Amino acid sequence: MQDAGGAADLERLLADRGEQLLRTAVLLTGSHQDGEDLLQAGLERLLRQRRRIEGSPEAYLRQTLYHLAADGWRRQGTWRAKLPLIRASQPPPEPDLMAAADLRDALIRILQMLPPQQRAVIVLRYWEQLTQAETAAALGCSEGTVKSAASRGLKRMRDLASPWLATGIKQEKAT
Amino acid sequence: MSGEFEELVRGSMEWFAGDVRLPAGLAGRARRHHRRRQRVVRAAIAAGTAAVVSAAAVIAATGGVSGAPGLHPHGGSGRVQAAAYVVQRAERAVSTKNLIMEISTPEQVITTEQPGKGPVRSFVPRSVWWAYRGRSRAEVYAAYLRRHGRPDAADTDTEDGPLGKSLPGNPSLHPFTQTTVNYSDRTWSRGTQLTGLASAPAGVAACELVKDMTDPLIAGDVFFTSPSFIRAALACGGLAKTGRTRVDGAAAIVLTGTQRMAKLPITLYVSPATYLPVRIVIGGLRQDYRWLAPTTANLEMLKVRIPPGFRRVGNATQPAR
Repeated sequence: MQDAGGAADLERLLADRGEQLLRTAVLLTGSHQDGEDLLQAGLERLLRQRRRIEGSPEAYLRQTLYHLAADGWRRQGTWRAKLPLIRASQPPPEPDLMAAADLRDALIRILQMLPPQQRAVIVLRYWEQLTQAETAAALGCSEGTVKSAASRGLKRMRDLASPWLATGIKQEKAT
Repeated sequence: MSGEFEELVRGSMEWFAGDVRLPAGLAGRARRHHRRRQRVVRAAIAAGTAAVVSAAAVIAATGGVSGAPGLHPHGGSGRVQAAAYVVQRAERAVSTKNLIMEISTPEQVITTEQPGKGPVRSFVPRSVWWAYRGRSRAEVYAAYLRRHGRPDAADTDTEDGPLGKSLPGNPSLHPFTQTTVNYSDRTWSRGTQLTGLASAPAGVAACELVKDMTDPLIAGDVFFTSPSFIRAALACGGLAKTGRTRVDGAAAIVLTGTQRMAKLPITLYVSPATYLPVRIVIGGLRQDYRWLAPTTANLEMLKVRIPPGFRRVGNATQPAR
């Protein structure tokens, strides 16, 4: 990204890829507002570093989003305290269409409780539909790391979602 | 790990983020923030406090990123976020889905507190109303009114055409063609009417529209809640998710209006499957919704039929409704 055309390049990048990047940011943070804040923070970092970036600005921005999300998440440091609450939860008493909505809602919140690398891998692999190799390149790690993070992340999500899965998965198929 | 669960995770992410739109001005905000930071850093370096400012700037840049919210299947803080999504989804469903809206109002009595008059009872006749792309049709069965002090109330079938361009010199007034069949005296009429309600304004104005339409003074006269009213009620931001229930045997999410947005209590029930409204209760007045695909057969419901032998009467342009 050249200095003189930085603003125009940024606008172009956002016009082409902004929505997808924002959706990724929303999934990484767990809320629209925090997702916007995260993307804005990533854009600011992109502006700061634009002279030093080699290669695709989007790839840099994407990697920055993961790192900033992980930083913010680590600083909160609250997820461990919340895990017992999830395990103590009970499924809805009566299966109905609400169960599918509850299950989706629960899965999104469980996603926010995964360690940053697992969360990033889940978002990249199952939301952005990247391959293992592409995910590894985006995160700057090995394919083996991606594979094990995806496996552990999904297993943890399934464990934590078990109260909802019994009733919700049947309804999710119906909808 | 089964593919089914992976698909469920992917579907949940689509549900959560699939309709997120990029807000205008995000790049501009990033540039302004970046320039401000540059100025602060330059000034701080000059003052020998660069390290402190740098640490603060990093926190500012990432401070909005929150950690995990609490997780409770039946309530708690995590539900607040879901409530916003329900309202957002409902608004989007009502605004973008290409469907015919059908509103059925059963016979009922509503009681409203009117300033200076105390409780006032209004008898609401049975009616069915269809709306699609600016056109609408209403069937009103007035037997209930005739039994309760309005012997002259007529059974009517009324079709309103789409709104025309606003009048020269009065941009708030729009003409439209109205055709009415009166089954009580076997007559029909067609003429141009004027309306000032072209569309529901957005934002704060949406709340004003909702307030106006829920004024107890006119509650007995407002039998039909239009698509624009529903859109305004959702856009206003005054609806909160308050629970779940069943409407005619089907699951429904309950959204309740706050006093900020309405002069009468509003409860809106939306389907958790489609997010489309299935029922609304305003100040005790209940109306049920169906959403129909615009098939040829269904579009016929928007057209009034003039029965043979009915006599045409008056067609003069009338003042605004």
